[in-house]
Amino acid sequence: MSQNVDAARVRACLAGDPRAFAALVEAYEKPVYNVSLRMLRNPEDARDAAQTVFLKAWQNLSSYDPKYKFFSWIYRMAINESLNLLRSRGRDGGPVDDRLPSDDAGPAELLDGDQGREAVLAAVGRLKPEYRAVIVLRYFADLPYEDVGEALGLDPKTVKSRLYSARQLLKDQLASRGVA
Amino acid sequence: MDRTRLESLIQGELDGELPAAERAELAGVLLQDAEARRLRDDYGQLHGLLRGIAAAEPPSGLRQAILEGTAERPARNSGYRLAASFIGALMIAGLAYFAGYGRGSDTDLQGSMAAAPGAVSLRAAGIAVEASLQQDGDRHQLRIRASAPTPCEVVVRFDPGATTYTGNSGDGATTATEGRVTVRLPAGHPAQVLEFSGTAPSTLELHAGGRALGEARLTVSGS
Repeated sequence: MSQNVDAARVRACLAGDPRAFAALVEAYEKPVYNVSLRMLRNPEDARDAAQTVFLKAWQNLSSYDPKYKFFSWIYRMAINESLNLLRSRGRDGGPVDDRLPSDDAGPAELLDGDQGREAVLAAVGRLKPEYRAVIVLRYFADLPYEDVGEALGLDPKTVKSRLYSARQLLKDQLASRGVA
Repeated sequence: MDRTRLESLIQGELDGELPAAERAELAGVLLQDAEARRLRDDYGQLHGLLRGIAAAEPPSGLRQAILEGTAERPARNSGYRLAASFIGALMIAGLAYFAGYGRGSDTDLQGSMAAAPGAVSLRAAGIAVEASLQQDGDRHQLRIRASAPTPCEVVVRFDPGATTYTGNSGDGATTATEGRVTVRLPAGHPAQVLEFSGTAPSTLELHAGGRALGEARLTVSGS
């Protein structure tokens, strides 16, 4: 997704082209939904968050600064909207969906297929929001440190530090369950 | 090498963000230290599991819901906010003549001064509607064109005691009641022609998502 293409779409949208915003939605519907889903671990909440994010983007397009990447701007809104939802539901520090595989499953079973992935997602869901956010943007939005930093308003060193801590926590959680 | 630095190098390498000198330093440690290799395997496994989680497909209908939502809530453009607030307070969307698409920025609600008589344009929430009213004796033809990311409705009002709605053609679905014709236009670039006899219809309203977005007064241009 090119920054120049996005900036042109924003300009066209502000100039009144009704197709331009539809094109932005088409380009970012899936990643924004996935960022929300991995933050919230609930498809219905993720749907609501993604919808709210795009509506806020639409209403605040004129405040978008094109010197930043559009996706950083919209991912930041997705993270913030997810955090708002978590806070409003009193879930900011705890797990959203704690469906870990049962402890009697062995490491080999856990590492294969859906169970292994589900264990990782559950562990991500138990991270504190600030750690969850960097993991989500790094892995589920596939952003490098610099772009994660731009999206979260952090310098890349802080991103690296949070990723380091987050992965340590994930590794320890999974090891305690016989995964990784 | 202490463990904190080793873990930091391993993670940096997995992220593809390790400079060449540190990659070489890590490679040297891994060659000599079995515990370092085990640690890298652990992080590599975690990295692989995280990267192996496929993106979920958004639920069907999400995109449509977003676009309908934007049609209901006008975009804010700071340059026009004050004017839009004033217009909103007066509940008048625009009193305008033809200006053509793409002139100026999108606003909360915009009516534009005309380049030609007998036509109006309404723009709101990413939807643009142009209408021109032609008169031939006591017959009137209202030509409507829209550019809209979502379906919208155009309502034409007239005095039922002085005007008769006589027919239509075009892309939309039309419903007529006393003093009012409603045209439901699909998304895209639909066009519709409405015909009247008697006095010309008076106002044009733009609706989307069940909400009125704007209104303009129609004026007549002779054929």
